Amino acid sequence: MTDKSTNKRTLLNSWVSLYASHLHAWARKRTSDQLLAEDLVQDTFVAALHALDGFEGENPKAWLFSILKHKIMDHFRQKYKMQFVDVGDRQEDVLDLFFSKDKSWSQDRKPGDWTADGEELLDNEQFLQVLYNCMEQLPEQWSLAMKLKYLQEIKGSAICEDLGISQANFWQILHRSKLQLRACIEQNWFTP
Amino acid sequence: MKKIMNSLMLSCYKATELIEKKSVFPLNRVQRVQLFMHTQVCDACRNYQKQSELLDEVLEKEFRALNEENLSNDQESDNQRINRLSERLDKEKFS
Repeated sequence: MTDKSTNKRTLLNSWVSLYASHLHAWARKRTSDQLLAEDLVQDTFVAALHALDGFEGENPKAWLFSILKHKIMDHFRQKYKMQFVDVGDRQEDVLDLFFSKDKSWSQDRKPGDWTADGEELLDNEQFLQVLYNCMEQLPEQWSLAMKLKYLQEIKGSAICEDLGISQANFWQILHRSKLQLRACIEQNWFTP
Repeated sequence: MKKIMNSLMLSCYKATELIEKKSVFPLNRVQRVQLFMHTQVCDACRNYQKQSELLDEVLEKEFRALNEENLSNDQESDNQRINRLSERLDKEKFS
C-alpha cells in the first residue's frame, strides 16, 4: 500500500466510525429493510473511497448522505421502474372492475357499511391477519408504494423521487391499492 | 347555476381518487369543496372515506410498531455491521 492510499483508508475509517451508524439508520427508515440498508451503506463507502480524490467539500457527512441517497434511488428505480411503466393496463382492469362506464360504483362493488371502530380492530389479531393476507395479494410495486407511505419519516414527494414516479402516478397507485385492499377486507372480514 | 353545480360534482371514481390523494398531498380549495359535496350525497363514497381512513390508521400503527421492533433489535449489531463494512473496504483495490 502506498502512503497515499493509507491516508485514504485512515480518512475513510474515521468517517465510518463517525457516520456509518447514522447513515444506516437513515437508510433503514427509508427502505424499511435492515439488510438492504447495510448493503447500500457499504456501497456508499466503497463509492466514496473511489471518488475521494474528487472530493473537495468540507462536509463529508453531507457528501456521504448524498451518495447514499442516490444509491437508494437507483435501487428502487432499478427494481420497480419497469413494473411501474407497464402498470397502465392493470390499472384500467382494476378500475373497470370497481366503476361503471359513467365512473360511479359498479352495483356489486359499492362499499357497504362496516360496523367497527379502529381501536377494536387494532387489537384484533384475526383482523390483522386478514389485513396482512390482503396486503400480500396486491401487486408487489403497489404494496411497496403503500409501505413507503406508512413509514412516517418519509414525505410524499420524497417517495416519488425514490421511486422515479410522478406525484399523480403515486396517488393513482395508492387509489388502486386501496380499492383492492378495502374490497378484500370487506369480503374476508365483514361479509358473514 | 346548473353549470356551476356540474363542474363541482365529482364522479365516484374521482371522489375516491381525491380521498387517496388527500392522504399524501394537500388538496386545493376546489378539490376540498368537490369532495365535501360529493360525500354529502353519496353514501358509498362516505363509507369508502371512513373505511379508507380507518385502514390508514391501522396500517400506520402496525408499520410503526414493526419499525420500532426492528430498531430495538438493531442496537447490538451496530458494531458487527461496522466490522463488516471495514472488511469490505479492505478488499477494495486502491487506484
